[in-house]
Amino acid sequence: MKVSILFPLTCIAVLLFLGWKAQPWSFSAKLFPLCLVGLGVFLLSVQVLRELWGGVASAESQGDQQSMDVGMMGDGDPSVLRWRGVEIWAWLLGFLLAILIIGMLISLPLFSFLYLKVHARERWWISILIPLLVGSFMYGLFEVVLHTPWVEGWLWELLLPGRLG
Amino acid sequence: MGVLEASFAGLVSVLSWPTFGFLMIGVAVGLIFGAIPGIGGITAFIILFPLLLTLGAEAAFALIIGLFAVTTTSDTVSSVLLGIPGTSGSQATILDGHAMAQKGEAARALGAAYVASAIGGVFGALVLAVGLQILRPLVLLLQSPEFFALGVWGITMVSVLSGRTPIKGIAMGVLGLMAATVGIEMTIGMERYTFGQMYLMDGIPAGLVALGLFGIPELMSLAIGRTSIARKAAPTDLLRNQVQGAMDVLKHWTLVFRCATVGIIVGFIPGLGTSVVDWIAYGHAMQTCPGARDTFGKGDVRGVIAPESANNAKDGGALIPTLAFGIPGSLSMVLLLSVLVSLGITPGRDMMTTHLNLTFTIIWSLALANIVGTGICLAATNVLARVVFLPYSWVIATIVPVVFLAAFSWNGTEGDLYTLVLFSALGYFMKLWGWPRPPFILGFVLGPILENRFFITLNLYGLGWLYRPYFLLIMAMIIGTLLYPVFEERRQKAKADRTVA
Repeated sequence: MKVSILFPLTCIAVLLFLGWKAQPWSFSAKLFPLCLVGLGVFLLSVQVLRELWGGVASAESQGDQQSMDVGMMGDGDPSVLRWRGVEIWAWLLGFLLAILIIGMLISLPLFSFLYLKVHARERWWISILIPLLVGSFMYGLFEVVLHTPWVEGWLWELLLPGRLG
Repeated sequence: MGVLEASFAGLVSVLSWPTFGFLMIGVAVGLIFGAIPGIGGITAFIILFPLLLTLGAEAAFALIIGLFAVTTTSDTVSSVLLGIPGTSGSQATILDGHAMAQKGEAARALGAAYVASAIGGVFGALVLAVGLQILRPLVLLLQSPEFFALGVWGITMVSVLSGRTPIKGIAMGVLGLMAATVGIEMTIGMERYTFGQMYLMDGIPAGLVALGLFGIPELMSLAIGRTSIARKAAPTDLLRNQVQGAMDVLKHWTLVFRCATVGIIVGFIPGLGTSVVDWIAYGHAMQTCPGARDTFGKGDVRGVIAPESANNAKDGGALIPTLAFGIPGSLSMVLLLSVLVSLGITPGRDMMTTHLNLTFTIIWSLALANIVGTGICLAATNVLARVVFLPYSWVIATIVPVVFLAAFSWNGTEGDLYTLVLFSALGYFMKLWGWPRPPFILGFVLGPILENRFFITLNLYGLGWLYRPYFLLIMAMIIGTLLYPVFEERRQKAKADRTVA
């Protein structure tokens, strides 16, 4: 099976599920979503059939990043690019997990520091200065100007119950 | 309110505090982000999205316009110095700009580019002001069926022009419309697709969808492509000889206005936008300038002036259909539209009547941002040159935390972070497998408006709306838009056959 049809097939499955969920609603509430489900499933199915039988997927996926959409994923050895993709996803998901566990105030500069020191092997002063600047800017904008409440982190809620927030 | 009063009120609004301050912030951020190759104004816009919604409409739009207006001014720095486009709008500038830099004329090329950008941008703002007044009677003539059809046309147009496969674009537009149905339905107040989650009652925040679809995938693209620049020393003597470049622009003033006109026309046509405007202007200059065929590509200053006049002027052209009809001319206009809608302002009739002041605030902001941006570039070109040389890892280490925090500031719940990661994954796979993202975000932004207009139309006109002449005219244009790729493909095929023969 071609990997490229996984995306439209997933979209079709999601749309069908959403169409099924809309069944019990009143006419006015479900009219618009059901029209969209019908149209979306039809278009995506046509594309799946084209890719299965027409062999258009690879050429199109190479050429679709034009006009209004921006950029490509980069040129070079596909296996290297794939690995870099996995790597950056790991950084992002690790960052999300860190925010949830140890809180936002620590995770934001920590991510910045680790990415510079561990991933990019930057010099110490750069690896400390940039997180400091990032942390100060974000504290100023989001805490002082926007009054954003920070995620405290599960760990601190567990260790210091009732002392946060 | 009359047009002249609104124009004056718009000018007063831009020059008053804090609107002017936000315009300057937008210009400063736009210049820095435009200068960093691979980042551009879209990422800056998305990071600032939560801040925008806490501001008044005038301040928010001063900031946005300031930001978008000047990214195509400072993007010249990397095109000239490195031969790498700062944004997709400065690719053609490389040909002669970088060649001039190699001949030791970098400052002259930058001076010419900045001044051409300023003149192009101000000319674009002027045409925007006049163009909107010409279109005003037409906009006031249209009713809800026509605006519904215009919304559908906008999504169709963006879908068709977003890639080689219109069917993919339209499907993504439909998915975007579908995502917009999450939350409380407007006519009878019924919950749709909330799955019992309080978080989803108000729908998915547009800013989070934009952050996820564009912000993170673009940063990932930078991390994967590693388009950073080697640690070369940035040149430090760029302030000299800029005056000579400015004089070149004045000498070739007809070329500036011709290419700015090209930029406005390309900006006005939805879907063409940034990535082609510079090439079209460059091609025009090559065909019309005496001796250009021999000198272009070898460091001819006219090859810098042409694309730079056009890529700043295109914003004025792109704003005309965006403000008048709600049809965005480019990705930046799609995002601008999302702020407009998030602030409770409907594009079209409102922008010509109740929000005419705001329309003129936008126009004045565009003109002022271009002038101020050019002044800053001329004065601080050495600083911008250093920004160009930033390694990708510094950018990622700085911007990723800001994006996460920007997302979290939306509702202040962990749900914001999950939504961000979910839409980032969607944006990443769409980008990876060639499914266009602009139709999705446009469908998402226009979804509630379209559904609302659809119900108003049904209630007011029954089935009679299907026979309204203006509605039928727009439907014909939608069909034409859908058929356009078929004709274009046939034309290309016939051309290729002729070449082979």
